[in-house]
Amino acid sequence: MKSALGIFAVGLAVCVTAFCGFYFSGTVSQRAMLREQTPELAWLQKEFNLSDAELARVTKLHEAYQPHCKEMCRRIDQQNMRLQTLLTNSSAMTPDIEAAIAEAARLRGECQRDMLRHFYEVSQTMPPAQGRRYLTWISERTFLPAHGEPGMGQKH
Amino acid sequence: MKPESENSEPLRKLMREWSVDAPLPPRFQENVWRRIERAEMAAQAPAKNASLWAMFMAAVSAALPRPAMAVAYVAVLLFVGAGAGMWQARSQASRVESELGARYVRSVDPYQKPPGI
Repeated sequence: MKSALGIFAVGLAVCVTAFCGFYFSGTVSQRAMLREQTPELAWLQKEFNLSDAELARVTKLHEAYQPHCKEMCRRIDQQNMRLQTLLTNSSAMTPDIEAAIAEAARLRGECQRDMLRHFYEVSQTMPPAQGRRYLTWISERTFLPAHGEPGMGQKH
Repeated sequence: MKPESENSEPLRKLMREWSVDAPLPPRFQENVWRRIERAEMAAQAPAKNASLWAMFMAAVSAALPRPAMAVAYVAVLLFVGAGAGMWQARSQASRVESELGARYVRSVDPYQKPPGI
């Protein structure tokens, strides 16, 4: 009885150890990415097989783009609030609403242009095949989202 | 207290003379057997459960110490643990990578940032 209990316990210990071992070894690269200062760029490096030098260039471009991106966010928020106020206070189409919609469309166009410029710059720092793959991937998620998925103009 | 031999003779005589005239209730014998049967079944029910558990434990205790059985048992648990760990790791890795990809998109697309950022 004692030896049976011992074997039973050994079996359980082996099972738990195997689970933990395979789990931790299978998630080691994801945990390393999450520990990075910018996990999303670490993910980009892994996903598009970038060398450290390529990642450094992408990081530089990314950091240079961030202030402009934040400024665009601020302008989009401001424009959305303005449009929201106009829509709340009106029960029919007014010239002000038309102007706000036109301004939102202009802002969207400007935002798309700057984003695309950034995406081209980033793709050019990658090896050609990965750069093309990156452009396809990022375009699908920003310019060409499927219906019902978040993307340009659907979040705010 | 008198010795048993002195008491027993009058008692035996009395018992021999004693006769019961009252009739038995209807289906007396059948009812007695039914009650006996019920009592026996009630006494056996927990014993049957206990014996199943005891039989299982006895079988395990007898089988596990056999080297082939012990190796097979440990191997099966090793396989189960490894499989579950791999499956869980794959699912977690896929979830983290998908989230990081979405985070990258949010970091470059002003229309996908939460409001106020």
